[in-house]
Amino acid sequence: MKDILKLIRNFILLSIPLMVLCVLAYILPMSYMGPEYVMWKEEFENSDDPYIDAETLIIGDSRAKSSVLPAMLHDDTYNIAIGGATPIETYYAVKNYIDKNGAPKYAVVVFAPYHMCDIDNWDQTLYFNFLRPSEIAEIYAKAVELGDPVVARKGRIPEMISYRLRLPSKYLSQMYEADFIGNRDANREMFDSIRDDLGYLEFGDADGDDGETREVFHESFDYSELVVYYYEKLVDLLSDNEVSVVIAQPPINVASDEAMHEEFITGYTGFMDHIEYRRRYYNMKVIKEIPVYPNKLFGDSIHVNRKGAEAYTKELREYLESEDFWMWD
Amino acid sequence: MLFNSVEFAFFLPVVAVVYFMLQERFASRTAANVWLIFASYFYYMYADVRYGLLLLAVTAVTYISGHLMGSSTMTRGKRRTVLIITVVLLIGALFFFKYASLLSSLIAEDEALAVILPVGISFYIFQSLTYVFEIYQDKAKPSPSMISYVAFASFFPVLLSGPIEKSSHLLPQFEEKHVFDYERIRHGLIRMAYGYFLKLVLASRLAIAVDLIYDSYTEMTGYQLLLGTCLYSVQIFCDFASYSTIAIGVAEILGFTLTENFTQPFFTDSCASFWRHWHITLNNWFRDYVYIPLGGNRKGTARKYLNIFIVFTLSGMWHGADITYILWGMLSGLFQIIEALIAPLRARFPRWLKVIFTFMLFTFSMFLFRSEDMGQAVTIIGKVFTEFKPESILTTSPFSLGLGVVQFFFLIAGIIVLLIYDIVNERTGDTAARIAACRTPVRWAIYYLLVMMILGSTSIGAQQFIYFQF
Repeated sequence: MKDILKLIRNFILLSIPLMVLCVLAYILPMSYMGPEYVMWKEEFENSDDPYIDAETLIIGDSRAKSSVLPAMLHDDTYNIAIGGATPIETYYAVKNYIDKNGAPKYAVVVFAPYHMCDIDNWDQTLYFNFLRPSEIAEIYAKAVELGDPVVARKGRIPEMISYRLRLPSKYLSQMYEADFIGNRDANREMFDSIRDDLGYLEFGDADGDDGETREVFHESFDYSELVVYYYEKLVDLLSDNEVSVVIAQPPINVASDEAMHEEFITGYTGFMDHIEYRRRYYNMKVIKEIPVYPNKLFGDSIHVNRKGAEAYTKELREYLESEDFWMWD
Repeated sequence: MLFNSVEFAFFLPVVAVVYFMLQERFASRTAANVWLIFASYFYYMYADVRYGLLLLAVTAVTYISGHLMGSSTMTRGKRRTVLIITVVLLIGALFFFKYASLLSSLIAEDEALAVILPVGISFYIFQSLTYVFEIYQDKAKPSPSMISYVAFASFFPVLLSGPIEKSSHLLPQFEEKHVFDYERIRHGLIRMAYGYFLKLVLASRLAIAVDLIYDSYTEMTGYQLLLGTCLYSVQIFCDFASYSTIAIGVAEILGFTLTENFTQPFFTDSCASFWRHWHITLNNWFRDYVYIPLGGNRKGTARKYLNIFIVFTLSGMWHGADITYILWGMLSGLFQIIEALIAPLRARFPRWLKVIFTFMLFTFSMFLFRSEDMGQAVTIIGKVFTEFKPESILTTSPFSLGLGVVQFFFLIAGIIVLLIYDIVNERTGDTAARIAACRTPVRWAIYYLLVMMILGSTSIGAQQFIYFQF
């Protein structure tokens, strides 16, 4: 027994460096993480303690984040979209927001169509650790049930544990890259800038881009059942909380429009029909058409630049005003 | 399941604790061995459930043939027949899994068979065959316990990449009582830590530089390719020796003693000696079951050379279904033959020069081993001889090899630790024991150095072990 205790004691002593690294990874994320983390942090902090008392929320992914300027859209509007998020993460983000602050009166939901097909950032979601273990477990259980190849892939459980424990195998390379605390000032500055812009964030700042967007790589609308499940859940959540909703499409550039497969567009439009058909959402409208903007309004191949955001926000505002959106009850 | 995975960090303590409890609770070894079988199959089938069926089939075939050959009613001729059938079945299975895809692609490129190579198959088939060979040679008796045999044939520390244990060495250990022994466990943990050090601190970093050079080999000078291949020699040593070292450490924690697989091969001064220190258990296998039955060195010099050549060609074939591996094996055999032929000339050179020369010959053979195909190997070797460009020694920054300044110095520090460990091992035979015998502050300083270096490397490079593909 004495030897067993000695072994355990020595093991604990030898684990101290590991624990130190895990603790550093846990307490210093704003000092070593990249810009995507800042966006998530801002959004989740905003859920806990909103920067403004928003009447209208912009909900969605990076295209929503970079396409809609809240200050231009309407008074008391805040953009809580999250870059790299699919409706899965967004559902929990919105749920947290509503649970803590009550529901907004209006919401504009904007997701890139390809996000219905690809869960391309799930590792990032786990890496950032903003979702609670119970939420991750719920998503995983659903993914297993639906046989999702990304979220429920083999080896996910130990990975989820590694991320939750902040093991160095997952975080150290980023900590090295940032010299442990080298990103602190830039991240803080970015955080403040997002707040100043009421949640808007520019993703690409080029004066034009003729690259093709992700939708182009899909020959058909090969949607993910898990994403669609959460998309519907998100819409249900908003509906149950009597939020007036407009679902809009983010813009794509001319180059992508020319290359996009007809079958994908048809399939996606069908999916939007299906969402619209769930008509118990009496106060919901779906804009199915994907707007096409000149290449010069894109900061990279998939996100509009600030000029593009201004153009899109203006167009969206005019549409919403024409529909008397802010008069809906 | 990889030794360097989170899963294994949970798996090993559970296996060890339950194993020791069963050893304490029951006088018979059966319960503990059943637990080991369960753990080993779980470990192996974690990657793919189908793998377990093949392992079970190999175990059944060798166990049955061992019993048949051990029967007192069997004549020598019948035993020989059983042996041949067993060897044909197992080597045939090995050949099928390794070569079916290649052969079918040669016959019809578009309709190549997609045969999955079960990980570790070359290792556990060779290990199971030792049981059959040893019974045939009357060096061992059939195992009285089927449970012990199944535990031996599926023993998880050695399952995926060896060491390839002889049944006469490992099998009897399943009949021994293994209890919690602090000193033994500490020794095993030090071995494991050193194995992780080899893999994570050295092999993973070296892989970054080597991959960078080989991925853009057409743009590299001969010097850079030679440098990359020298680094690959060290990488493959660290990678493979790491697996063996961890396996030995894991087995030791459980109370088993495995055969050393690497004993400072880069300190040897001849190719023949090199292969007695590199992948020792595989080379012993070929020595005992191919070289000696072929006549070894008993049938004259020419026959001895032919036997060496055959053994190393087969060793190349064992490594994989590619002409580069076969040529690598032939070349390794050829170097030993030439070395033996010029022995009087070699005797005039100082030892340090012969050590370097041995390393360079091994590195030369690695051009074949590392290359994707013959075309790449020929191009690289050609560039080394025709486009060496010595001036690139001055223009190639060590920091331009994909590692950056911090990681490069981390690598250098790791190589220094490797050299110290190996020098102590060369002199004392057991560095881990020396560490365990150090005074407390020194010992803990070494522990923390290893732990810190390992932790600082956990996010570097690939996780997979190179020898898993064999």
